[in-house]
Amino acid sequence: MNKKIIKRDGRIEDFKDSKILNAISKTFKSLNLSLSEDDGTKILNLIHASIDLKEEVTVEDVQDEVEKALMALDFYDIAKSYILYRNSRTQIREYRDYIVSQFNSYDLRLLFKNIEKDFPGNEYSLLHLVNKYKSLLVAEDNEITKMDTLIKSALELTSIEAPKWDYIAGRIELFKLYIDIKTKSKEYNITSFFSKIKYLVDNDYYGSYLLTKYSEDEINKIEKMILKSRDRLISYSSLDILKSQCLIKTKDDSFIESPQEMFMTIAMHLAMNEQDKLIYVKKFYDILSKFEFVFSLPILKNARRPSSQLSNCFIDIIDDSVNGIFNSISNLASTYKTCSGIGLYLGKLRASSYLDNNYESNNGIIKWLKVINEVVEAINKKNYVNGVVTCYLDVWHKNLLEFLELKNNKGNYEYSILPAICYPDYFWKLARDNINAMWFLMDPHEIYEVKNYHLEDYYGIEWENRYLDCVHDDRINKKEVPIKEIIRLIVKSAFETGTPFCFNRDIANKENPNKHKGMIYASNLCLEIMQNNSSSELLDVSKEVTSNNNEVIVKRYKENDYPTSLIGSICLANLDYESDSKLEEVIRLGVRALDNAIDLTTSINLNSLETLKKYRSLGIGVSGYHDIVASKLISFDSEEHLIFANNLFSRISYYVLKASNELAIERGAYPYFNGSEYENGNYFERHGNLSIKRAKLKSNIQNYGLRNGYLLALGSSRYASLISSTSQGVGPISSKFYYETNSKIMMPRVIKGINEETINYYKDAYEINSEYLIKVNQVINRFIDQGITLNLYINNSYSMRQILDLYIKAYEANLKSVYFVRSKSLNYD
Amino acid sequence: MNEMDKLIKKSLFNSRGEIGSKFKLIVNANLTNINDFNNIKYDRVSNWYRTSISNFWIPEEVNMNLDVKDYRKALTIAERRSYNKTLSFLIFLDSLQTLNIPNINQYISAPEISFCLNIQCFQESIHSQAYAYILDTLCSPSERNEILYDFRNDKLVLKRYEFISNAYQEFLNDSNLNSFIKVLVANYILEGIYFYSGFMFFYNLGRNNKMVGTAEIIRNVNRDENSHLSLFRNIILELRKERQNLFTKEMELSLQAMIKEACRQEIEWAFYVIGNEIRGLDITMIKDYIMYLGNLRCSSIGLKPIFEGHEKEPQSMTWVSKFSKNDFIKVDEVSTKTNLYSKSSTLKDDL
Repeated sequence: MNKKIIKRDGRIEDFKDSKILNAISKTFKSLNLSLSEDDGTKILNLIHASIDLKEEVTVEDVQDEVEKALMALDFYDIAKSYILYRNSRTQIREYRDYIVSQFNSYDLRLLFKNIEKDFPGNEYSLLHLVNKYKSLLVAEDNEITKMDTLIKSALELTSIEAPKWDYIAGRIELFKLYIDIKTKSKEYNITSFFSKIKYLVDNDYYGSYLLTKYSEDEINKIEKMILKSRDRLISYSSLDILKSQCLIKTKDDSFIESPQEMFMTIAMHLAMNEQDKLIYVKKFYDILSKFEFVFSLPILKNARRPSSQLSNCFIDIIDDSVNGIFNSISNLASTYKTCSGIGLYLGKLRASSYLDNNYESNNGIIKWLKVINEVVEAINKKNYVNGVVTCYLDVWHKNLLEFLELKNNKGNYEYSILPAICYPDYFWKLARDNINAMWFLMDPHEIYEVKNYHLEDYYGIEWENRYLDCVHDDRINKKEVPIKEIIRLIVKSAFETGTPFCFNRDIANKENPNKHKGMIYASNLCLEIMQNNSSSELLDVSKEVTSNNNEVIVKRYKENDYPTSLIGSICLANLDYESDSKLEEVIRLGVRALDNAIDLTTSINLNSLETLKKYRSLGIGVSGYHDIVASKLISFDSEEHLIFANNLFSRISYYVLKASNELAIERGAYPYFNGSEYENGNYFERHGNLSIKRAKLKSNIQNYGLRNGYLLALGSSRYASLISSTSQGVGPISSKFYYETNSKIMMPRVIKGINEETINYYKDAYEINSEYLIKVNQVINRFIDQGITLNLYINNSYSMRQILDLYIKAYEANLKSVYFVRSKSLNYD
Repeated sequence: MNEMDKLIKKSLFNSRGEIGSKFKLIVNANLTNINDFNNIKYDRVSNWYRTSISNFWIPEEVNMNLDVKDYRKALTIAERRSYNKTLSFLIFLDSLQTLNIPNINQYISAPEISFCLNIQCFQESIHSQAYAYILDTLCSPSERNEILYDFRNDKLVLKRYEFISNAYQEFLNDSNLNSFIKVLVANYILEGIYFYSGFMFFYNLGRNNKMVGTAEIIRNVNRDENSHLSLFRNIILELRKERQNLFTKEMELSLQAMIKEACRQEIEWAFYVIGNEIRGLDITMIKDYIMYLGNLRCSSIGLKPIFEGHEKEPQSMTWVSKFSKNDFIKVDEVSTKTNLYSKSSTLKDDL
């Protein structure tokens, strides 16, 4: 039997009985019946009786005969089901054909066949796409704008009921991207992964180390590890970030690097100094391309590049001198270009003028803030409205009241910086127990001149004693303000603008595992980094003659703690976090990759590199937390949740510490390990109740050390969450559906994990009492050596006392910081 | 005329008026006309007041930099024409409201409701300021005048404006309870159908990534208009309770006819102003949307729907409600200004 059948796309294939039987038995199965061998033979015989007479047989012909045969044998229900199914397939084919026919220069047939296969379900029917596309199409559209319209249509269909349109839009966008890449590759004669790397290295897009550390043979092996199927994990939102922020573009603004190539070359960079390079290249590639562990934006942007700043979140303490201010500003300007997440501590600056000999307040802080603001705005890109620096000031600083007036909704001159206030425990104690007490604002410079110490250099009881000492010292000029008044201003500002942020300095320092080497004055942009910092001062200026007889002026600065960290997120929703071995493996690899990055990062800011070498700081966070809570059908505000959080973060912290400990055994402890609370065990004692496992880990760490002085910091993980399509940070989602705008395009964002079952567990943050969020953070906080970015949510019916109570509860819960206090505008029914 | 149907204008001060909330009525109450907000009868009002005050906004807070570029370069000729005409229409409507609300207010006896109407009137003025800000940013002085006074060049526009303003003028000429009900509904139509159909156009531009600053301003205007609709809806429903006898079958039919005619005219207008030239909209979609709005407004004031088959939001227009809420639009909270926060003046001081 050598019958041929003509397929719909014109190909000619051998006619196979088995294929027909398959289709028919599927139809039987769909009606919970089974096709007997006997009946199958009967049907085939009838079919062959008709088609064997024909010369050419098409698919349609055969399907016609199937229908006839079924009816002839009295299988009416089966026939009906087969006919309906055939009709719906025809319709879907028509929609697909319509879309494909819109484009002459591209063949979208296979793309859409795959989309149909991977996205079954009526809500993803191409019918919707076609209708939306037709409504957005105009006569003037050419193939390029048609493609954009098609993508926009898919995006707009994204909804809570049909969240996966984001992925469909992503696939079409990827298709477009691959066309662009292919064109460019042809132009530059790129025929393999190796030749692409060579081209990019030769033209200064990639670092030459990629070719010196990896042979052509090794790169060919690596090429085989690239899995294009992982593209399926990339949604449009995810791809948008990759395209706008990470993927390498040539000088004429064209794309040359695909997402998988990006992930692979990043892995190559991070693994390049490993002994078993190829093993670690694959492992790092896996956790990244599967979005199990997503590195921070600087790593995604700058790894594999000639100059690679990989760390994030710089924190600077501004020295109280004009020189110090401009030194810090120049550091700010140079680091701001390559990273964000910056924190600046202004608490050492005097309130008076640098020209005066007296201590009369000259609004010093505010004037310098304006300078910083102008610098940030000068560097900012054209359409950035506000910048990304958080400025910290102590709550006892003389310029506090002016600082609180900084951001307001009145339409006055606004600053490109976010304000944060550093609170000692004493402030919250007074606010809670004696709100009618007086508070005294003082100038740190004046205090130093009179008392010969810097009040801001202390914390806890020591600070309290010295503060009261200053208060009772009549030589120091003070501004007396009732605490109630200060709280009023803070609470009003929080209500109107969400700021100032709250940094609980005593708690942060009390919990600092490296207090033997310094102190924490301030945190970073999102208040999750808690590391030692100190100010630098200009030691001297001198003239020198270099080795080739050039005269140079040398400014010598005291080395200071200028912390920066290597950051990444564990995307809990994308891995089987419940499996101990899986969680441990992902964490181990993530810690290892970040630790490698510490020695690979370059920076204009030498100081920060030195600090990084001493502490080897990491800032590991999570994303997808609300996703996993919802998928376990746990309510965010339930007792069950507290137990879940406790268990999960106990495990996460255990594996992070274990990984760093194993690295210390392999590579050595961080230089400042001796004297730290990891070494003397206080870090573990403080939280008490050690399980046997944890006790063993504690002793391992005490004996063999820890590779990294700072480990966990649960930030807002915004980019990681967008790229991995998971919920942000460790808080509840703020809305199940919203549009996100970066002032160029409106992208719909829907929580990906949402379905019929989970939707009830995706209560959004405004529906949850913020007191509960504080409780949750209290539980998690015990396992985090640094901080957590905590947003609080209020509504317009809140009173001042209620807002104050939230801050007091946060203090009582031992939380180190509070980020935005978010409120919703009221709508009418 | 029946004594009962006479509509009584409030006097400035009525020494013989009754005191106490039980004497308050929507119209024709015998009160002293002192602003007594301690004895409130219509208690939805105090929430309305608080919400409105805390949602205060200034148009200049919205960044229009991208709009300036779009207006010159990104909008097609058809889009710019539609943009200008729709903006012009909204300016006309808000001007009308600013003048008309006090006219209605003269007859509202309950002072707490008068108070809300005063706030509404103030908000309409802010809206006019918002449009001025838009025109100021985008257009040259001569272009601005062309848009503001479009009715002088376009007969169809003139005809529409006159028709709408006549509905209010008629009430001024003959003020009785029946015509009062009609003018309340005319106002409801103006807010609930004409405005919304205009907003929809700007949201469509916004979803095509054009004129996003305008879309943000319109969202703020929209939020206020939601509150106005809510206020008028309450006034109409309360009046219905107090004066059941006036809401006869005849009256209901004539109100339905008013709404139906308004929709018909709005559809005709949309054909003229928008037509099939704009990406993302066609006349079928617009028609479906306006008929849906008509039904929605009918049922919210207790009337039966007037357009069969349009009781639910049309599938093709579900994007409108998504684009109309500020809460749905998340701005990257770190790098651009937020537009969600409310004024702290309503924050209760209980420290």
